Amino acid sequence: MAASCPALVVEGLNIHFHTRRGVVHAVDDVTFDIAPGEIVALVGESGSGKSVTSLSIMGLLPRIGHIAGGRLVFQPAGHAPVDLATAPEKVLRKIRGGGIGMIFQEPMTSLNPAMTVGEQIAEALVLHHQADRRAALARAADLLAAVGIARPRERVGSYPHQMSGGMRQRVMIAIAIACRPALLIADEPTTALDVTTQAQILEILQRLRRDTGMAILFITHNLSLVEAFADRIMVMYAGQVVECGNARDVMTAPRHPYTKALLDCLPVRHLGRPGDGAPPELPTIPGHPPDLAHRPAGCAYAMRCDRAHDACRTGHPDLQMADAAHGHATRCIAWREMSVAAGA
Amino acid sequence: MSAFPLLSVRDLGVTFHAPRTLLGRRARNVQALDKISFDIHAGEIVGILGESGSGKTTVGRCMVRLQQPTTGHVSFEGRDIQALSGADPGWYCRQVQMIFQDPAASLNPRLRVRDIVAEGLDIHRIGTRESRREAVIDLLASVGLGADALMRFAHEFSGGQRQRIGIARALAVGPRLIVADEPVSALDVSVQAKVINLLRGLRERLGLAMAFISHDLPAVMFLCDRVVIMYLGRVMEIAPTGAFRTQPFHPYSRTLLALAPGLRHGGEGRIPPTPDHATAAPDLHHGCAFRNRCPHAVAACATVVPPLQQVTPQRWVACLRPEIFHDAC
Repeated sequence: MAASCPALVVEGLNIHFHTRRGVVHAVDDVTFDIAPGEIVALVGESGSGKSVTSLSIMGLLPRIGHIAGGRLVFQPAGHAPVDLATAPEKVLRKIRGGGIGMIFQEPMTSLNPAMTVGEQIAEALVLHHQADRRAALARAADLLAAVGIARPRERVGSYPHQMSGGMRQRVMIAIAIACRPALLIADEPTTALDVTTQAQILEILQRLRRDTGMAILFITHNLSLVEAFADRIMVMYAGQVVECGNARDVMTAPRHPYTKALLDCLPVRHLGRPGDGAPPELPTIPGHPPDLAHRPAGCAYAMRCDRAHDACRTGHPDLQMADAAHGHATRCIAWREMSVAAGA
Repeated sequence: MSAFPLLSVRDLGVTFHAPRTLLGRRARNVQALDKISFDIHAGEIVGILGESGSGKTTVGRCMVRLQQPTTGHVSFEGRDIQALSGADPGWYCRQVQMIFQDPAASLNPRLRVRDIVAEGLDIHRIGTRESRREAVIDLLASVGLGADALMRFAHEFSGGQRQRIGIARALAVGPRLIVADEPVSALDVSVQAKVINLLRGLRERLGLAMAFISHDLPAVMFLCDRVVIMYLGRVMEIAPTGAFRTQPFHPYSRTLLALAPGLRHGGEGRIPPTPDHATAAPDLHHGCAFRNRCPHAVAACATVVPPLQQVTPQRWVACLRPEIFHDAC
């Protein structure tokens, strides 16, 4: 999957929020890249910095936040690379919805209730490709068909309230892919949807990346969802990437205690064999994530970690390779003590 | 399991009448529930599983008398809860309490935790003022919160802690049945595990019965003794959790199990193709609600509403084609 030129390179990204309680280090030294046609999942709990990372790529950080360091290099095939961290608003406006598409969790609140879905899809084409309105509406119908909406020519004239949650999310995808973006950012796109609809949306995204070579950054809190869907998984905790690697490696042999603990919390891993009687209690993670305005010294997870020793509470653990051949890295200095079968 | 259920739902139907439009036309009425029947026994956790629009929340609302059924009834220890009069509705409130999905929206932001939890005790005049204060401290302790929470407001707590306050409030009046509507869906994964453990611990300690309403299949399978599978306002299948997991009978149940992330093993293995959402809701007056997404549908499925039938001593299925799971019986 390591194509010659990644679609997006994030290097040493730091994002600070200035609040009354002090400076909150929401994202701390995040580095990763996404190749064309690759699906990378950014997984973490609320407050881990996953959504802030995605917003910064789109230049959509709230006013109190700013990029305090690092580069966000977007390089679509055939175009000159652009550093999104420093690019002027005028350039960003071209890239938003053009080179980079985005879909959000709430398909109800992110669509305009007063415009037909066809007009909303056409809007992107008119703005970015200078298409004329009639051609854009025709293309909108094709896009609706591409995301699996039946009778697309009639549906072009529908309003969002006339559609179900799953259909609205498809419309969001249609808008996001209208200008054939090189990168699609999907922030919890299936969280509000039913299991069966969720499966359909994931199938559509898989097909789109296969057909168009679009890269996908998939943000979610649900580890079990991305196991079969993503190529690579990055686990975030307290603003840092604590583990990254191939989806299968991370899921079956986690090399960071937080990833392992998060996997252990899932009820699906404790159903036992039928007839065993009631399964035991679910394992939990003691304590809370640290206050990011007053980050403790050492590993951010040390105070909740049952393996932590003194060395964990000093210094700043870096991401280190646990398996260089597969690109499996961890921010735990004691990863060697974790048994290989840990997550199985 | 005792012979008589604690709560039984019989042929429950709820129709929402659409208001007249500006032009005086009537939009179609929505039949949210259609002949729902199941039992909950003392000390039993029953999972009510369904997608959005399946009517699972409406069932829960009927169980706590927040929704008046159009047909059928809910009875608690043999008494029809709609027919309660005099002091009896108050008695019923003490027997059955509810936990809501969104702990932020279901706690009064202007009350201190002490008053939120004590409200039920005050309304039902349980104990003296002194004993109530003691009781609130005990209740908070039973959900894992310290006495320092007493004077604080709901917004000072995290999502998981707020849900604990909601649980303490429900426990205050000493209920025997808790109706929990998606109690963990809004929580982070690691917090979900803590709340699920808490709910299970309460059942062990207090012998509480629970209706756990959820769309989260793994959580339901972990926590519940039996599952009621709902689809578009009807019950598709009722089964003990273990048997359901190894051998789901109804085609819809099989689809659910095949699609749940992390559970996807054995059986089909692959995601079965599901038709477009627009065509997913068929004419519900005739035939099976699941027929146009069902791989086993035959002509009769479009005309006959499949009755919920007992196929083994503990399992009920609403399907016209028993032969597809017959060898499993």
